[in-house]
Amino acid sequence: MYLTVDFEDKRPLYQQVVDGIKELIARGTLREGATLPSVRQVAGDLGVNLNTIATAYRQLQEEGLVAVRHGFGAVVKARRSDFAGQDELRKGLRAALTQLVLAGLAEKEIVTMVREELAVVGGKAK
Amino acid sequence: MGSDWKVILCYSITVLYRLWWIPIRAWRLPLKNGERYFQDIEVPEGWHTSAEGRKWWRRYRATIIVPHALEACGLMAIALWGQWKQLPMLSLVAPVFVGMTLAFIAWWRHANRARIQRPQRVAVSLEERKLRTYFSWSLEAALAMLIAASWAIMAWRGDADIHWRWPLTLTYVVIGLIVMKAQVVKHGWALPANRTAEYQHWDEFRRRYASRVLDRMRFMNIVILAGYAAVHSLAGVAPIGAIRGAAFAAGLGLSVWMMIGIARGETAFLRGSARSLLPPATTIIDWKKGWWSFGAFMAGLALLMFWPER
Repeated sequence: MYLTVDFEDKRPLYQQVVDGIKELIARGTLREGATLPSVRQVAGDLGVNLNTIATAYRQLQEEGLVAVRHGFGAVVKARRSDFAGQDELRKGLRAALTQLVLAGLAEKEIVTMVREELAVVGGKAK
Repeated sequence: MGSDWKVILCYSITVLYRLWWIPIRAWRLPLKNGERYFQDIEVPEGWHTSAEGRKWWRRYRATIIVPHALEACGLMAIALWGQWKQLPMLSLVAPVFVGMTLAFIAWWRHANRARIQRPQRVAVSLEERKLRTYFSWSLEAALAMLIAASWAIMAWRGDADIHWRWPLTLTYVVIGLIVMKAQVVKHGWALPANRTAEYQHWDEFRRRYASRVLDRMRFMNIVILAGYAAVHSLAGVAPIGAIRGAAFAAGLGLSVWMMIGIARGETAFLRGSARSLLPPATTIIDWKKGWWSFGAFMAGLALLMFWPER
C-alpha cells in the first residue's frame, strides 16, 4: 500500500498526502482500524519537513477520518468524512465541473470522465 | 610463535575475504548499475574514458589503495619485528576505509548534484516499520544479561591484568551497533512511483541484510567481551585454557559467519543492481543524519582507543 506524491503537482505536498490517504480510504485499501506510519517515518521517507506530514494528519483528523496517536502513527477511524454536508459537497463538485467545462470538454466526455474516476475511487465504497 | 597462531589465523581470514572482494567486486563497484552510471549517478556516453572520468576513477581507486597500502606497511613492520600480537591493530584500517569511501561518495554526489535525476513522482510505503520486526526482545535481554554478567565478574573477581580500555571499547561498540541497527531499520526513502513494489522489495532486502551484518558484528564483540571477562576473572575457578579456547572458537565462528553474510549479501546486491531499476542515489536520501551519527560514533571510538592509559 503506497502513497504517491508528485513533486511537480500544483497542489501543496500536505494536500497531496491528504488526498492520497483519502483515496486509499475511499477505495477500501485502508480499512477502519488500519494503522498509518508515524509522521516521522513518512516525512523521513519523503525527505520533507515533519510539519508537512503533521499538517496532513491533522486535517485528516479534523475531517474525522483518522485518529492521531501522538508519538506513534494514526489509525483510520471511519470511511466517512465528518463535516461535509450536501451543500459543501455540491460546491466542490460544481468547482470541479466548472474546470472541466472551461477546459472545453463536452457534456458526454465529462460524464464519461466522472464515471471512470468514480469506478477508480469509489468502486468498493458503496 | 606460541599462541600467536590464533591472531594470525583470524587475520588471515580477513585477508582471504578481501582478496576475493577487492579484485572481483570493489575494483569496478561504481559500475554496478552498468556503464551508463558511475556510483549511482548517470554519466554521458564515453565519460569513463574521458579526462574527467579517469580522474574520478583514480580518486575512487585511491580510497581502496591508500588504506590497504597503510595496512601492508603495518603488516610488514609487525612481521619484521615479530610483534604478531599487534595484528588486531591493523583492523583500524577498516574505519579508515569506510570513512574514505563515504567521503568519496559524498564528494562525488556533491560535485555532480546537477546530474542526479530524481523521479518526479515518488511513492512511500504506508506500512509502519516497527523495531520489533527486526529485534527479538528476548535475545536482546539475554545479550544484555551476558554483558552485565561480564562486567559484574570483572568488577568482582577481575585480576590485575585487566585493561579496562578493552571491555569499555567493546561495550561501546556493541551499544553503537544497536543504535546503528535501529537507524538502519527505521530509515527508508521515497521510491520511484513505477515498479514501486520491486523497489520496496529491494529496500527491504537492504534493511534486512544490513541488520543481519550488524547483529553478527555485535554478537562477535559480545563473545570477545565475555571471553575477556572470563579469562581475567575465573582463574582458579574454571579451566582458563578451555575458556580461552571456547571463546576463541566462538569468536572465530562468528566472524566467519559474519563474512559469509557480507559476501552473500553483497553478491545479491550486485546481482540486483544489474537489473533495470534506478540506482538508489537517484531517490531522496537524507545523508546528514547518517553522517553525524557515524562521525560521533567514530570520534567516541577513537577517544576510547587512543586515550592515554595511566
